[in-house]
Amino acid sequence: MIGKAIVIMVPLLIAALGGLFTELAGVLNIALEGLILSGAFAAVIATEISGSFFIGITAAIITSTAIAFLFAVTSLHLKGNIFVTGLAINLLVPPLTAMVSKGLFGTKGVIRLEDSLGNQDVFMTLAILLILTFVSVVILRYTPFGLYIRTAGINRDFLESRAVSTRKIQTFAILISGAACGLAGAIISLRLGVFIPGISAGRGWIALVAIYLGNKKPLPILAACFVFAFAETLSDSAQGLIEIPATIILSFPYFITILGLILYSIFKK
Amino acid sequence: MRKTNRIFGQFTGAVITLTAVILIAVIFLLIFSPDKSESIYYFFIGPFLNSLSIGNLLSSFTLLTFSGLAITVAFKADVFNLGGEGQIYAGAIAATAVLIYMPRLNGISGFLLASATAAAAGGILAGISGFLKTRWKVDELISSFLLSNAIIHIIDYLITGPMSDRNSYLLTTKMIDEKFYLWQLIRPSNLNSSIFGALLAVVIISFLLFYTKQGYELRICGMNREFAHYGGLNTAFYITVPMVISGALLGLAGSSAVLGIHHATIKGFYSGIGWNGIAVALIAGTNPIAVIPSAFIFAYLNQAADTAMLKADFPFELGGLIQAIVFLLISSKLISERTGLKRGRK
Amino acid sequence: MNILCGIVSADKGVFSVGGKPVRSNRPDKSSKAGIGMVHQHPKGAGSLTVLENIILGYEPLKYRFFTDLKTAEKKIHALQEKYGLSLNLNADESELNSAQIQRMELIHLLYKDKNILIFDEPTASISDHQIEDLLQIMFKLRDEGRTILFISHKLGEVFRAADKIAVMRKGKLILCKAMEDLTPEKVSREMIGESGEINYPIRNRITSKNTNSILYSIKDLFYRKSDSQNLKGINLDILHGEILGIAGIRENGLELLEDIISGMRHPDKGNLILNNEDVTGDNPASLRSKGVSYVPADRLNRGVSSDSTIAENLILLNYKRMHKLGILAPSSINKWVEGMQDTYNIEGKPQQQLKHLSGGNIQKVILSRELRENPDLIIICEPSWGLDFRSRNNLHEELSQTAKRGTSVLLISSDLDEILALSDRIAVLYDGKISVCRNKTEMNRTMIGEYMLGVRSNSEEN
Repeated sequence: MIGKAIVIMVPLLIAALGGLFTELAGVLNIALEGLILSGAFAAVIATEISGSFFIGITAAIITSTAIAFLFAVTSLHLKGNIFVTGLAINLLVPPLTAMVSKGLFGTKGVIRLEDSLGNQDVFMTLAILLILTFVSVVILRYTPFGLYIRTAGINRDFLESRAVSTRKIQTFAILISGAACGLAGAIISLRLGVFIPGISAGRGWIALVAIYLGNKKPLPILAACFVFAFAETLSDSAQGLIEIPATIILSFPYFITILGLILYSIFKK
Repeated sequence: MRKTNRIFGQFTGAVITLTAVILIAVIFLLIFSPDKSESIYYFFIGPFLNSLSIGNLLSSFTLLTFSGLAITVAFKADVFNLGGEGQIYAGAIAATAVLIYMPRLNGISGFLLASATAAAAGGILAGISGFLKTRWKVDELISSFLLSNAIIHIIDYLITGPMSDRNSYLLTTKMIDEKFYLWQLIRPSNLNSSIFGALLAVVIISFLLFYTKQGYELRICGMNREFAHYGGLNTAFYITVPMVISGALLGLAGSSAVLGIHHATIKGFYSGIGWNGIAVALIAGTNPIAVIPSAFIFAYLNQAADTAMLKADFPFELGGLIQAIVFLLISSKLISERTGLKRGRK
Repeated sequence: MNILCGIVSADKGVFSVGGKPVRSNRPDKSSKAGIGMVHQHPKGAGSLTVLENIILGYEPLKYRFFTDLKTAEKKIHALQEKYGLSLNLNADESELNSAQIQRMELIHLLYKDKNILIFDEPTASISDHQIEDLLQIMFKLRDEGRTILFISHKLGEVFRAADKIAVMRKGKLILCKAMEDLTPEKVSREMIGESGEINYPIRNRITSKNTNSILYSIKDLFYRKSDSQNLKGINLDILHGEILGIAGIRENGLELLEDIISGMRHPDKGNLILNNEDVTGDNPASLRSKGVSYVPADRLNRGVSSDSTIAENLILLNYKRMHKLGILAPSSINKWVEGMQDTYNIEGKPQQQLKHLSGGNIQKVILSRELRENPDLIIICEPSWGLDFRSRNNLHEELSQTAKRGTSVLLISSDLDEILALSDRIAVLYDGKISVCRNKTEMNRTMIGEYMLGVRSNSEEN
């Protein structure tokens, strides 16, 4: 079961680490959900057309980064309210995917691939997770860029006084989260070999909670993601045992996020 | 003179956003639809072609007015209610439940009880967010959104489970008794007497906001909370109460949809009304009276998209796209001086 | 100083460094010219480590992408050794006190090897024994050939440290001479300005049976905001029917005193007693109901709601009495508001947004609103900040009239002329204590100035 959790948590962790960069840079990023979905969709489309998983993954990353750029422009350059623009991204992706899907394949529903990536070896996966976490820590602590990102979220005037453009840093952070979510989405859909509308299933929100519960530090976020993944495996197995209707389970990510928020607010210094 | 300057700024912002939206919609139509001129024609003229579409336009206008008004009340107190979708849904299911499980009520009392329950359902849901903000400083923006999404799934379960109508091919609850139906104004469209309720609500809310003590207190808390505190006003009260009123209005929108249009709670019927309500409020610049023209324009845009889709075989989802684009642009401070949103994040 | 650092652009004129003019409208241009500032209220970034703060923007690189922390540390340690600036580089900024943050700023400037160093009121935020350390460091920097601009209002230190002394007043350079050619008294006089033959009239006070009895008493007030900003035992009595002026330098505690006396902050120790009732824990709204009005120095954020209309601002305190059957009718509100505007000479129409009014009119809105409640005491702070000459005079006249009607006025201001013009008694706040409190007749401008600058203190009197 732990092995299953480790495998499940991969996209979650990737999205969370990507989102971490935006949060640290002072950008509230609720567009994670839409970005993941766009990545999942692009991956399936590209794989279907090209026949290659690699191209699928690349397309996913590019697509999500492009949409993240739109997010950055409307929030930072056009100075929109960050929650409204984030929400706009989440509202934009489903109709966009439906339209492209209908145009290319004549359906706006499920798209099946012939093959699927399946799940990888548990130990390899664990290694990858640890490497990703480690890389995040290194970037944030041991590069100037990481320093700028952290400072952007703490005191942007200070950053500006040292001749670093906060807006540039924040834009970069948003693009990083876009790429990360694209990858995460690709993993979700390619593993199953299918795209279902709504396949992101609240994972963007869980990633956000993981960031807060992990106190915005990579290693605790790793732990938080594991907890959520483990909970998901539990509920999967339990579905056979206990009769909780699927629809109600769909509400869990949101309840959990609220709970996480409340706890975070209560225990914030 | 100065007042007109301010209104002008808001107005320009709204105009720019709407123009951009229409332009983008037209571009999409031109690119994707098989018959270009037909699409354009149906997009702009479609809604007015016959009594059915006009009726639906006005019905949609009714729901958007309720919704936009609800968000405007919250904005006036500088709180964000992003839980509209769930609150409408909750109001609808509450009204349906009352009428299904108490079929012995007569028409009028059924109407009153259902409406009151619906308002309470929406109000409580939004009120929780208000409470979380005053008590633990949890951002009501996020909490109302999350709560709404959570409740939507639960209501989905109720509709497809315990309250489901097995005989219907739709995912819906059982229908309410005919005696509870609202007066249909233009058959066979959706337009019903709730349109008067919506207009009445606008009048009442405007009156309350601008002509009463409490309205003054609410508005001052919304304009400068520190100043209000310094003057001795109860700022916590005016965070929770506006949320409750907002939720209650959305709940009423839900019950009006049940009583007047579908006569049951159909899964997902609420879709977009909550979000469009926010866009309506933003375009109306948090002015309750301006909600009326704003809601009308929106209803028109949605209807236009629908007609183009139906008649000109335009691929689905133009409506959703329009919505998203409006959201992307409407809160931009660069595009307009003020759109009524005071809060900005880092 | 902001102009030299490129934070603000000069309207006219240029400055040059080493003969090369600096066209400075951006901080990094000034920085390139070698100018750096240690700020008056050093704040740092917030929660970086000291090392990160110092090198941010100028990190040495390793393998092109990574920060070379070792090289940075070595370089900084060398600087620390040389100048005696001890500081733990791995400490978190949030653990530092103001002196340490100041040191951190200085290390950054030295790390960037700036030649022109501006110290803006450096001793305002640090404790006494740290001042000497700082002066030693400044001497060392000077001996190296760097130029130091040391801004201070504490003449004791100025005379200890400076080679040359420049005095600025009201935006003009008054003098710039070698230290040996000046005395503290002369400098103080130039800073305050000659008042010439202005006679400050003695007010005719209304005598009633209440006069000279204590209305509001401040006892043993202690409050510690930071190392440097604190009140160390304030004792003051405000009498019925008097105008008591408290003079001082804003950063030297006036702001803090305002916050506490008005109820916006609560003291660590001590009591506020109003008419024999202990009101120490009260907030401004409750004090207002007990007869104490407050016109804050920070008008735009606290005193008004700029986006609201004039009417909405004016009725804040009495809208509850203005309704009929729960209905607040705009027509009757407008009439009342217009009446107020007439009485107090406030321009504009009731439905206009407040932010379009001039500073003077905004002040009138706040004042008239508070005065209408007929308070026993009105606490008013920096009343003529940002006001033009005529508005200022009108305001002073209004305050005079208010006191004539029997309301006591507590005037907290850094404007010496204002204090002298209005007050019956004058107190001076310096270094967290009240250094003197006398009748106006016993004081003159120069004397008050010297108390404000710490040149004179109570121990010199008996």
